[in-house]
Amino acid sequence: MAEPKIKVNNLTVSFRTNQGFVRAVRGVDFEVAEGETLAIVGESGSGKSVTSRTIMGILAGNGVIDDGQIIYENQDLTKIHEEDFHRLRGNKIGMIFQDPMSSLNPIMKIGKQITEGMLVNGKRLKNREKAIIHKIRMRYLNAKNERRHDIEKFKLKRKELKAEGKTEELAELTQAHKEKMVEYKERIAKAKIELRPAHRDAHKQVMQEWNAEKARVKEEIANVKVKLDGASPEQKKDIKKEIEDLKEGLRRYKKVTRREATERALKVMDEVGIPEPKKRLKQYPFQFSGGMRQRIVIAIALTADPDILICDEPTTALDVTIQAQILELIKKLKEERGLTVIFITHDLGVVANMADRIAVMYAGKIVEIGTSEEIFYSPKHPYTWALLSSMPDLESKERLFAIPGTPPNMLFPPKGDAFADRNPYALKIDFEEEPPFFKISDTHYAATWLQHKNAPSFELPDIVRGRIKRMTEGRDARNEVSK
Amino acid sequence: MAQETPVLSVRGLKQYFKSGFGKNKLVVRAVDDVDFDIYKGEVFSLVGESGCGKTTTGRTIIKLYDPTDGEVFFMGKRISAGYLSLKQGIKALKRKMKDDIAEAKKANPNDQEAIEKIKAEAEEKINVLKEEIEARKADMSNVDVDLMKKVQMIFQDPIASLNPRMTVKEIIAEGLRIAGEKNNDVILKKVNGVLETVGLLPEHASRYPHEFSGGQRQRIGIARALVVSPEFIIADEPISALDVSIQAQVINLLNDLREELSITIMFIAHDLSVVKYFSDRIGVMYYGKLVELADKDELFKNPLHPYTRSLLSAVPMPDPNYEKQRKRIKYDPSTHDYKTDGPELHEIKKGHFVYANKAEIEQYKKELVK
Repeated sequence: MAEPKIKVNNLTVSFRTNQGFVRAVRGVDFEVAEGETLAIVGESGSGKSVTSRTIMGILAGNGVIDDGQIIYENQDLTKIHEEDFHRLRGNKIGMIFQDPMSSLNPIMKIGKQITEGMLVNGKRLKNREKAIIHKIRMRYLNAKNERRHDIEKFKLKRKELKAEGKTEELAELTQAHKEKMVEYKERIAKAKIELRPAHRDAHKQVMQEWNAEKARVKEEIANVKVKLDGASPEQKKDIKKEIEDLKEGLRRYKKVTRREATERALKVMDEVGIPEPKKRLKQYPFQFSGGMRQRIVIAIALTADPDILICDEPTTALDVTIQAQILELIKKLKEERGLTVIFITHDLGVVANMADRIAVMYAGKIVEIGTSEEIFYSPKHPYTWALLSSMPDLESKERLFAIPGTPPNMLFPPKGDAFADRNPYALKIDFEEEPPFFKISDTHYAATWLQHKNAPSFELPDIVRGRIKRMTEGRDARNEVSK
Repeated sequence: MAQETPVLSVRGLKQYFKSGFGKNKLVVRAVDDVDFDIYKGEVFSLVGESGCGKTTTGRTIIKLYDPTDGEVFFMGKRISAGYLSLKQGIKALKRKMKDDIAEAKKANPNDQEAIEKIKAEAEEKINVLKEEIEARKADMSNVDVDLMKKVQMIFQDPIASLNPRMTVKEIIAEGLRIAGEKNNDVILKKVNGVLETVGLLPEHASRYPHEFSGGQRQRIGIARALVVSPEFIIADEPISALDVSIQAQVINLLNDLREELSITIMFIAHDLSVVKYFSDRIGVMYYGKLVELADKDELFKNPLHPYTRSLLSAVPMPDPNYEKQRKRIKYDPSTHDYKTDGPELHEIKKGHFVYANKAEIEQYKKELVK
C-alpha cells in the first residue's frame, strides 16, 4: 500500500462528565492512503463522529485525548499546539457536517458565508510575518503549554497522594515539581526574550517588502498614466482598466480582497454544481433546498483546497434522490481533486457506493475493517452481520433482524467483547476477554473470537447468507452481460 | 386481500397554502388533486422526495389541516371535505348567467320571460352547489368522535412529538380521556396492555420520555396511537429519525401489529427499500400530484412514469458491485408536453395507475407489452 496520508494509532478519547468518564473511543487504529475513501460505519453512539472530530481537533470542551496519535505529514495532531493546528484545520483537512440547515448561518447571505473564511485568513502580510517567526514563537508557546500540562498532572497526583496519606512521597513530589517549575520559568523567559527581536525583525522585513512592492506598482502606474495623454476615449478606457488592475494586484499582495474571494467563491460554486452562482451569492440559506444547502456547505469546505475531506453523515438529512446527487458530487470532487475522504455514516447502502475500505465501529472500537467487497461479500463479525440483516434491501421478504438491547453504557465499558450482550453468537470467552484482531486477508481484519482456530463452527445468519448469494449471483450475471 | 369497500377513499383532495397579500400573494399547491383508495388490512405507502406533499396528504386526511378541496371518506362516511371547486363552480355559473342574459337582451330586449327563465335555471344549479357546500361544512364541524377515534397517526420525530413534561402513562392515556373514558382503573389497564403490545414494560408507564432511547420513544408514539384501538393508522416517516438497528425493531413491530390486530396502515416514507419490504401498494407523489400507483411488485418491475424510474434508480443498495454499475436516471419534468393534451390518472393495467396524457398512455402501453 502507498504511504498513508493520515494514520490513527490507538486513539482513545473520553468525555469528562458529572458521572465520571465516558469512554467514547477506546483504541482506534486505521490509516487512509492518498486518494482513498475510508468509510466508518456504526450505530449512533459508537464513537465514529468523535473520531472524526478528534482528527479535526474540534472535540467538545470536556473531551480528553487519553492516548494515541494521529499522524499527518509527520506531525502528531494530538500533540501539536492550537496555533499549529490553525494552519491545518480547514486548509488541509476540511469537514462537511451532517445537517446543512444548522451548519449555515440563517441570517447571513450565502456569498458572505463562503468568502468569510478566505477573508479572515487572508491577511497576507500578517500571515507572512507569522510564518517567518513561527518556529521561535512555537518554542515559546510549547513551553507554556507543557508547563500547563505539568501543573495539571501534578495537581492530580497530589490529590491522589493526599487521599492515600503518603506525606513523604508528597513532599518529594512537591520538591521535584518546584524544581521543574523553575526550569520552565527560565525556558519561557529565554524564549520570550528571543521572540521579541525576532518579531520586530520579521515585521521590518515584511514592511520592507511591502514598501518595495508598493513603490514598484506606483512606478508602473505612473508609466501607464503617461500613455493617457492624447489617447482616444476607447484607449483611455483600456488604460484606466489597466491601472485599476494594477491597484487591485497591489491590494491582493496585502490581503485577500473581497473581489478575489468572490471570484473564487463563484468558481467553487460552479464546481459543486450550483446554477447561476452570481445570483445565488446574494441569497439566504432558507432560499435554498436541502440538497443545494449541502452543496454550499461542501463549497465552503473546498474554498481552502483541503487534502483530506471528512464527511460526517452528509446525506442523512436528505432524501433519496438528493442523496444520490450529493454522493455523486463528492465522488466527482474526489476524483478531480485527488481528495482523501473519510466518510462517516450509518447507512450501508450509501457506503457501498462511496467507500474503498470500510471500518465498522461499535462501542468506541473498530470491530471489522476491510475493503468494501470483503465487508459486503464475506463479513466476519457478528455486529456486521447484524447491521447487514437489520436493513431491508429491495428483494428481502423475511423478517428483519433487530439487534436486541441497546449499546452499552460507556461510563462503564463492559469487560470482554462490548457486543457480547446483544450477540446471539457470543461465546463464553466473549464475556471475559476482549477479542484481538484476527487477520483474514491482508486488508481484512475482524475482532471476534469466532475467528479463533479453537472456536466452534458456526453458520452465517440466513438473511446475510441469502443476501450474499443474491449479490454474488447478481454480480456474476452482470459480468456475463458485460462480456 | 379483501378488495371490497375501501377503508379510506380520497377523492380529488387538494391542499393549498396561501401566503402574502397583493402582488406578493403566493399559493403553494402542496397537494393537488389526489385520488386513491386504501383497502382493509393492507399497507399503502406514499413515497416521494421531501416537499412533494406526502406528509401534507396524511395530515389533511386526519384533519390536522382543513382541506381546500376534495373529500375524504372513512368507512363510507365523509370525514373531511373542502369546497374550493364548488365555489369556483358557483362563480362560473353566475358569470355564464350574466352572459346569457346579455345575449338574450341583445336578441330581444323586451323578452322578460326568457331572462327570468335563464335566471331561474341558473339559480337552481347554484342552490344545489350551495347546499353541497353547507353539507360539507356541516361534516367538517360535526365530528363523529367514535369514528375519528379509529384513525390515528404516528409522527416522524419521537423526540419532538412527545411532551417532555408528561409521563408515558399520561401521554398514552390522553387519547382515552379525550374520548370520554373516566374510570382510572380501565385507563391503567388499557395503558399497561398497550405498553405490552409494543414491547415495553408496565413499569415504564411512570417514566418521562427523556428516559427512553430513540426506538423506545417511537414505541411510545405507537402505543399512544394504538390505545384507542384504531382500525387505520397513518405512519408519517416513523423510522426516518431512527438508527439503523432500531429501524428494524420498529418495522418488525408495525408488521406484527398489522398481523395481530389487522390494522390498515398508510405508510409515508422516502426510503424505498423499506417501503418495498413493508407495504402492499405504493403511490408515488411528485409536487403534489400522485404520478403512479401500483402494487409494489408491479411498480418495481414495471415503473412507467419517468419520475418513478428516476426515484428507483437512486435507491442505494448495500452491494458494492451493483453500486459501481448503477446509473442514476435524472427526471426532467419539461419532457412532458401537456399543453394541448392534459394529463390524468389512468388505469393502464389492473391496479396500475399512471399520471399521463393520451399520447403517453399509448407509449406506456407499448412498453408494458414488451
